[in-house]
Amino acid sequence: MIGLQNITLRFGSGTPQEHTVFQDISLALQPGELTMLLGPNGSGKSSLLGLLAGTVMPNQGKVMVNGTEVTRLPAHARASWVARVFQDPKAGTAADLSILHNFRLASLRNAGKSMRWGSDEAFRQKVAQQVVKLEMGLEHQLNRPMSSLSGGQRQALTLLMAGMAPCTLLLLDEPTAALDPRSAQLVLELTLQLVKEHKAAALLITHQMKDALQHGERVLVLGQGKIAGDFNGAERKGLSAERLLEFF
Amino acid sequence: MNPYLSALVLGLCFLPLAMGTFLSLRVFNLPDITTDGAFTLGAAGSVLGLLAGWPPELTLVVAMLLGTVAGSITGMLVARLRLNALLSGLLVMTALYSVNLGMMGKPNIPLIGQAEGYFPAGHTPIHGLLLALAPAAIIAFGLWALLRTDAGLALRASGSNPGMAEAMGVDTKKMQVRGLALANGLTALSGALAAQYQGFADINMGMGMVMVGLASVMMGEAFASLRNVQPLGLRLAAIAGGTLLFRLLLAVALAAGIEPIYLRLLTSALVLAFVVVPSLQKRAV
Repeated sequence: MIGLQNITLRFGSGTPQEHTVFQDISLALQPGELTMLLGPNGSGKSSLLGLLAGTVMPNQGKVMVNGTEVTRLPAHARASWVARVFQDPKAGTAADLSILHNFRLASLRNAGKSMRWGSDEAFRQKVAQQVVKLEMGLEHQLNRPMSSLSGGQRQALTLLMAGMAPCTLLLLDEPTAALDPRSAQLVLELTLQLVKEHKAAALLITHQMKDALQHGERVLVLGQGKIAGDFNGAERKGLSAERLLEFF
Repeated sequence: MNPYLSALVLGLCFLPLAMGTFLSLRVFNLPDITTDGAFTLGAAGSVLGLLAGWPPELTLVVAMLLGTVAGSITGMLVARLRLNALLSGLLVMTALYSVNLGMMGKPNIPLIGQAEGYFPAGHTPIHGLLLALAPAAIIAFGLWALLRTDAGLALRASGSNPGMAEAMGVDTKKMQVRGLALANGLTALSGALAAQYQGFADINMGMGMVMVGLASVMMGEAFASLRNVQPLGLRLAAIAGGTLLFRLLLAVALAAGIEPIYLRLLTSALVLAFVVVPSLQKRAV
């Protein structure tokens, strides 16, 4: 189980700009479950992901992963169980490194980076087997620097990279927002595969009502510093776009 | 001694400095100006070591270690105290001036007649070239090999995309400290080699070394980008070529009768040219 316990998050504490993002919220995510996260702009969707990823520290409350408290652990120390995909398609890959080397780092997300040449022929084969799934012909161009690829290609590769090492938590911040419809569809499909393969708890931020209703097992809506709506099981099945729109 | 051969030897001595500049400036995107102080630190440390009777090779290693310490201080100012990179480098460089002078005890320490350095007295030009080639080759190959390891990839990703590196479990702050430590270790090695080649350490010998490193990297990259070179090994080779070419150009300028006092003006003009010309060419395309 992965969760937040009684989290309060404030920005600019003690200044006139003080702003409470969350007031005493709790949340539990289940393995193998994809949760779609919705909410108006500024409702704290990205902050919620940040709390779980370790890039945002709460003022009060605990972040728990499988019974262990990780509240104060920085992002790099949580990487062994958290995989992340960002809204900016360029954010998930290192532009100056080749496709192969990006995958190498991704495969070591949960391990130490030692002084050996790990990007060997066997590893190259392994990456090619993954990349071929995209049907972009990139499996023959693994030495190409990431900077030479399009946003859609890079985001699709980021998804595949997330699958190179085990993860218990998958955090996706509007992964399809900057993509054309075809790339967006591909990225969404890869996400669903990844959640299934790794039995990870996944949290996906989206503004697309259609996606939120079509995919995933659970819908969360944030608003006014708390979790305004939480639809699971039968409630989730009966959920309509009109009902969701009431939250905005 | 033939001035061009001498320029080549000095160019090889400056190769670690160029590699260090590549590391801080290109791999980490940090304009590190600790360089001027670290260069003299390496020179002072190695010359004092020689005078104490240490073997020359050991003094080179000690110089490198001293540079690493200086670089890691700059790195900690940048990574832990979140100071601006230029300010951090300036602070450490300024402090190093006192440290260097304190170590040396006087502004200039001659080696000639006092101790035998890495370049033995009366060596032939070819012998000098071969001697200078060894550390340069070791450093260039070593850096290439290091940056290809898994740890090296973590280092490069930290500079290229810190957010991504953190998400991949890399402590980017630690990497910044290590990167700047290594960069300044290489710079100090160049200082030690230059001091032993020229036969003295001088408190002001590091002045302008930031520019020398920059000139070498930018000249190398100008050629690499003309041919659109991407692989790391070729980029490092281009920078090595840029380092040697830079020294040769200065030697040509001196042979053409330019007063030595104008060499730095020429250096600035050269760097400007190598920065501006490729971008003008891109605009023309």
